[in-house]
Amino acid sequence: MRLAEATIALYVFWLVLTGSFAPIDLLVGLLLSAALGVWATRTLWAEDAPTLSLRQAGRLFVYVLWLIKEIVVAAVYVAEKVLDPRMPIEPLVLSHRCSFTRDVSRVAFANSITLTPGTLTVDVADDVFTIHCLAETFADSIASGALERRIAAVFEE
Amino acid sequence: MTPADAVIGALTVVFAGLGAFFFLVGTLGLLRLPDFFSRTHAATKCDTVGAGSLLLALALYNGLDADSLKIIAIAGLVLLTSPTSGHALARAAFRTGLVPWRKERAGEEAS
Repeated sequence: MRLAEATIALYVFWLVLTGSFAPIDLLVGLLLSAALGVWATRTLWAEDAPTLSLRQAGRLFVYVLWLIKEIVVAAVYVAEKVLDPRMPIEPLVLSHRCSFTRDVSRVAFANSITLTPGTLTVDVADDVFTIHCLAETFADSIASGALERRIAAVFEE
Repeated sequence: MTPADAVIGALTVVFAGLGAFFFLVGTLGLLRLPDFFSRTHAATKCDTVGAGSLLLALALYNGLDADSLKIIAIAGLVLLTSPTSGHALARAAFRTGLVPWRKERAGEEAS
């Protein structure tokens, strides 16, 4: 069933990219999607496939919208610091242990840290995240577990 | 030119301008910030927003068709790959022993 899901997703992506419904394009796309689907399910996601239920996918969509807002805030924040002649930053490095067990949640958490204001994921070793902050105030949402809870709600972990 | 075209044209200019601004700030940050890790902040965030904003402007200008869907797909890809590659760079630097810059230490060296 996973193979069918992967193939359908890849095929839709192919249709968007080609924008063509000529028989030869449809056939080649189907063959390539199936081949990539086999590779993805047997090798790439052999241990933990990043599949989501429909409800999780819906929550992920809402979460991504929130994340886009956070990225804009983050870029404005960096712009403020960079354009300030005194450049008031006080970087620090901290470690945070998370409770996620699935790879897909960890990837989402690591990338979310990087995209939210003032924080950057430097290293991930199992469940310990090493995070670089531009200033201590930005560590709060991570240290308090607020961001972690948001992602836990999306992936229902 | 219909009023709708004028609004879309204006939005295109605004988003393209914002995109250019954030790329400029990202580049300035790359030059001004004190060390590799803080520079990565500028490179990942400002470039993501800059590229996203420019791509949105292109999609708006192009109108609603298959090409715009492709442009949105590229924006999604940037959203996913930009933090990942930033993290890969920072991790490589961290694991090879690059020590992050601290304000206090810079002060000690100056005194």
